[in-house]
Amino acid sequence: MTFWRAIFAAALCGLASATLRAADTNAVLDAWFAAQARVHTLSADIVQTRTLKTLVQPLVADGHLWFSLPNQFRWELGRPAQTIALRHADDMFVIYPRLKRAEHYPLGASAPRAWRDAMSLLDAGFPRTRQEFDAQFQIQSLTQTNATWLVALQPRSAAARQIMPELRVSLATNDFSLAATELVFIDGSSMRNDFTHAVANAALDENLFQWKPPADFKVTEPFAK
Amino acid sequence: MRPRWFHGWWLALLLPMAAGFARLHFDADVLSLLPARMPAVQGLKMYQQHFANSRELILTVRAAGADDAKTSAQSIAAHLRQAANLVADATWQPPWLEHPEQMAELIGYLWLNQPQAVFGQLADHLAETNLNAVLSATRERLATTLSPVDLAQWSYDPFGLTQLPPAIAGAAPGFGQGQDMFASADGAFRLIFVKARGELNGYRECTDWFDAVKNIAESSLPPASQVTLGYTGRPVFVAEISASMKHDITLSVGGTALIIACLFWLAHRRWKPMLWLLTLLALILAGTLGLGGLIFGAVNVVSMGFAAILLGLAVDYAVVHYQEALAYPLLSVPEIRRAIAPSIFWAAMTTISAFLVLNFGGLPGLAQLGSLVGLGVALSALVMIMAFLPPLFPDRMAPRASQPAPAIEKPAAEPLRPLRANLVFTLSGGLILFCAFTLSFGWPKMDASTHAMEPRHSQAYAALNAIKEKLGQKQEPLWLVVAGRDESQISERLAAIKPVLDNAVSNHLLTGFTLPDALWPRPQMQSANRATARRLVAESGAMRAAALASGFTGASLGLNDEILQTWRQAASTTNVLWPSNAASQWIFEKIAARDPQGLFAAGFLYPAAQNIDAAALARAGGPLPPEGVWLSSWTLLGQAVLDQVKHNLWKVLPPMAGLVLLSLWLAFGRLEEICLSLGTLLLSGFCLLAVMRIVGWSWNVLNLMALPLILGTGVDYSLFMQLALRRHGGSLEAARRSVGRALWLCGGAAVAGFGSLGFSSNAGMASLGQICAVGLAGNMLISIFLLPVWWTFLAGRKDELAAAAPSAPSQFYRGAFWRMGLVLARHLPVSMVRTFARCGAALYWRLAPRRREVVVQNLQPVLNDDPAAAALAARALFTEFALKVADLWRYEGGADLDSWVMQWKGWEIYQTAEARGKGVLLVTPHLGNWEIGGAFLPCKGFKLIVLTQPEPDPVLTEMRKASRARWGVETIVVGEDAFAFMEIVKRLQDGATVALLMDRPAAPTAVNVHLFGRPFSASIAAAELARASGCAILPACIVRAAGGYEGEIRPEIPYDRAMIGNRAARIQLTQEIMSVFQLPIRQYISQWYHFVPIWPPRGE
Repeated sequence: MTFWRAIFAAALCGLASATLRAADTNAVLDAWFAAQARVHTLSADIVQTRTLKTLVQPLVADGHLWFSLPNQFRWELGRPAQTIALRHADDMFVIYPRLKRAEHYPLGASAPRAWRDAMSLLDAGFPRTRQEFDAQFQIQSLTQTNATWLVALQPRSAAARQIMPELRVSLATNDFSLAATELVFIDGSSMRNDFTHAVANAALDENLFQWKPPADFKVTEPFAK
Repeated sequence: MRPRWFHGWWLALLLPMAAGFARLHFDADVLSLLPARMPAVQGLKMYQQHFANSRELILTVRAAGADDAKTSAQSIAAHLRQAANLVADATWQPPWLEHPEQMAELIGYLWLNQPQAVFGQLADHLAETNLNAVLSATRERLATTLSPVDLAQWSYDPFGLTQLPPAIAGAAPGFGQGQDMFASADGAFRLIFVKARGELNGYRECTDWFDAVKNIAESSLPPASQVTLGYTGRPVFVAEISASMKHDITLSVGGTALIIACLFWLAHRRWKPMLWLLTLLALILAGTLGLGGLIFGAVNVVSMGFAAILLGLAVDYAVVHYQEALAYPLLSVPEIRRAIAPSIFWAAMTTISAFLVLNFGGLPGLAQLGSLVGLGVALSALVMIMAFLPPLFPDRMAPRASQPAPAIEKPAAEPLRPLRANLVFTLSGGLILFCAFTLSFGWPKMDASTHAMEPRHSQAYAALNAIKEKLGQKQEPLWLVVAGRDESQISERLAAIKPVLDNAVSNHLLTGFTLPDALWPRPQMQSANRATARRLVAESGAMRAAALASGFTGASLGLNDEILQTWRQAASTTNVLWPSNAASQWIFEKIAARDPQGLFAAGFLYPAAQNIDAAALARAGGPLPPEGVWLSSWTLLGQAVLDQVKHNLWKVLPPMAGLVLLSLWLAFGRLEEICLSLGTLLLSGFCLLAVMRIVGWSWNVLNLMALPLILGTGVDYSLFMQLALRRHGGSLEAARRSVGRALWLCGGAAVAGFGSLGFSSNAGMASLGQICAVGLAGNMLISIFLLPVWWTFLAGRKDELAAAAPSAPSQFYRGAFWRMGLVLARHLPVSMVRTFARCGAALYWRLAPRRREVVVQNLQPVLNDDPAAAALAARALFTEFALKVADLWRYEGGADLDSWVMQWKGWEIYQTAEARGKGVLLVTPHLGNWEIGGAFLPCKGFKLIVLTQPEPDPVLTEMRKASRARWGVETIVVGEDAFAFMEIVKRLQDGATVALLMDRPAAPTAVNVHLFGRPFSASIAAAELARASGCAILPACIVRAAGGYEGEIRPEIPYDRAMIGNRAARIQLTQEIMSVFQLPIRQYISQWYHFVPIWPPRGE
């Protein structure tokens, strides 16, 4: 049975992003990296579609994403936000405002390798250099559909592959902006994030990526030893 | 033809040895070295027995990267699993990751273990009417959660059964957790747990199984793989320790034997004795091991160190025998044996005592080592005394015909050269100053760790340390083992322990702890929850229908179904529920165990600092339950064992010191020489401490026991040297040539024996060997090079030695003692009386050093002034005299003379002389048992008159007179009656036979003659009686030989009665009589009984 493994894999999908490649792989990638090099911050609406093997119908939720170099992000799902995920340096928090509860995930060297590998996939949508990108991913295919490039990637890390054997990144053919990411889990479930109303390089408040637990919040560390 | 020395009783020794070998097995468990009653040891043993899986091997995989490590581990595990005949399981990742469905049983079990109210709340939450609300909330969570854990859990757990109550939420492994138990943070280092198919009891099974697993693991890797494998766990330790035992034995025994062979060759340059020596040493080792097996059954790894030590000690006995055989070629093997055996007996007794004292040290491992060495020394003494010389000197098995010993040049006591004296005292002072200077920087440290009990250069330990390092287990936890008769009792004890540990954490004594309280079965709660479980099981159909109706697929209900199945199973039985699937077993075997006596639970405590024990815990958190709870760890154990050893050292050292002092007193009887021996010991101890300080050695639980060993064996060197100096009249050169050389050989062998332990694979034994070797070497060198000069200055003054000589018979020669002897001889069996006599002689030899010296001095002129030969003969003389006295008691007690074997030579000479009717004067020295000879004459129909001097005790004089009278022998005490002389002359003239002792005259009858070339006082009474009566003078003696008593009447001493009218002629006749006795005295020197000085000082 693989359902339990799939659960494990699926746990990461809410936080994952995407990567890309081009038909003429090098040309498309070079263009993408060139476009990425110009992006320092990003703000976009998202529609997240979770197609889980355990549910007959997909679950759809909308929200917003903020990203800032080098690896800070803030995801909000639900309006008003029912769930917030934010990363600053090597700390990640998943916050449930309604439940006044939060989970803390350290992503430093002491964190379990499988999780660090999985979390590093979040950066896949915003690669900095070709070298880093190639160290993390192997390109499986590159296809052009209508106005998008669809890049299929496989994580090089075996630990990450055990969770997500495949990632798909959709890029706009005109400006190589990120259109969508889709994470495919080991049990076949998937999570797709469609990005709209993207604004690049707008000034973002640093406080977006920082969070101090209010006194009435209960914070746990699920992977603490 | 079987040689004479090969007696049947050798075969009798073989039987127990064979039985011992049949019983013998080797114990590689380090804990067997330690005192079983110590709580830390008990806890550790219990933990090792129940929780450190004896069938489990841990295989480490180290690769360049995480992917390589993972792939290799997976591949190795797969290959090992295929070897189903060898391997029950090979686990390379947490079982719940490989089989996540198996976690359902544990979750169901944990719910069932909760208080009835808590489980009831779950049942209410999952009531049919509430199911839709529950499922709706789950869908909302799934749509919005960003938590990987929540998403994973809720997706396959729509009813939230994995949401355990907070109190036990940490008990079940979290999803995705557990990899850190199997892989390092970077993933390049992984573990595989390999469980053997069957039990691995003995070291052979462990070794074979480990080799097979290793082959499979290594063949699972590609040929050019950069992956390196490591192995640890109990089977590996056992295999490694048994291999290291073999290595130790081969190296230490082989090395010591080689050194012994080299030393022997250098000393004697003969092949046959060297090879025979090595053969006997091998037999002794085998015999000791066999007897050890018979006594102990299991011989521990440390105890195997006995072999090298024993070799070094056993060789001494052979060397001493061989040296004596070479030095005295005229002595037969039995004579050498008789002379040497007592000293070997006492030396062996001292050594055996020294090693047996280790039994008081509190460490069973060392106690067994001590006992084995003691046993081996006893066996060595026996074997070397009985078997070493006969094959080497087959022509010397029978006593030789009497012949004078060749002259041996006696070294003169050379004057001590000032240069040498200055050099020795400068060196001695320099040594003391150097040691003091070195030790001013500090004493050798005390190592409280358990490193001394660990193997050195161990791959298994290296792998274990790598695991600790790579998996971040820098601090070793304390193990808490809780025992109980059933689940409920352990549960109660765990509940009592928890607040103590909570307090200890609050007080910062512990950084944390893990107790199995949440996982431990609670029978009462399980029983109370069975009805609720049945209710939930009954709702399973409704739950499924509701889930499907809410949009969940069948796949989402796998966990739910498994949990319900667990509850169904629990509801159908009344037994305590224990999770039983593979994943649960993997977890539970680490925290729970069962044996016929009951159950055990294990917890782990993480101390904030070192040296935290139960007492510290009690101070910080309160007392642990008094029964059924053990706190242990290797760190705790080290300190506890060291404390115990330090405590017991005071039980070991005083008896050892007492033994040493007793030996010294028995040997010397002089304060100066005892002080010199103690000084030698102290200086060598001082040097040992300085060496330890310089090379950085520490004291540890094992090498502390070197102290009594050095004390017990090292004292011999100073003892031998000072006795040699005495024997050789203070000649340094002679002492060096004789004992000095022997000390080099014996000491070198002992140092080699202990030194070879320095290469032992056990760190403690290695340090014990090193320290003993240095200590003994220091002792030996000081004894050879420094002590003789010290002795010359402080104890070697001859006037003192001479003044110490006793001039009167022993205090034991009194009526009361004699009467007691008569009673014993009358009532005890002959063999027992003789055994007592031998023991008494040996004891007296040790207890009466001055008397011993007198006898040695008395015998020296007979042996061409050879002090060593005289010492040998003197020792034999003590035994002969004791046997003679025993026979005398029997004789005077009325024993039947017909049963005594008595052979006469020259009887016809007596008959001829007696027939002349002019009287017969039988003259004899104090040689053999003359009294018994006298008793035979009346048996043959001849009357005998014995002339004696008064005994030291008048009661004794009367007793002996009465005894003789009972046998028909008349006693005339000369000096008692002024007219006695006339009476004797008259009786002689009437044809009587009179017996007279010649060689220890009363002052009025003493005249100077020459015997063995030296002036000697003899009795002129024989010549006077001859002149007065004209009787025949017949020299006679009755000696004890192998087959009984042999009497010899020598040819009549001719004289012309008219020519002995003047005193000078009578002195000349006395000289002639005494000259006849030179031959029998030399032949039976060990029966020439004089215990007061008989030779005038030289120059007088």
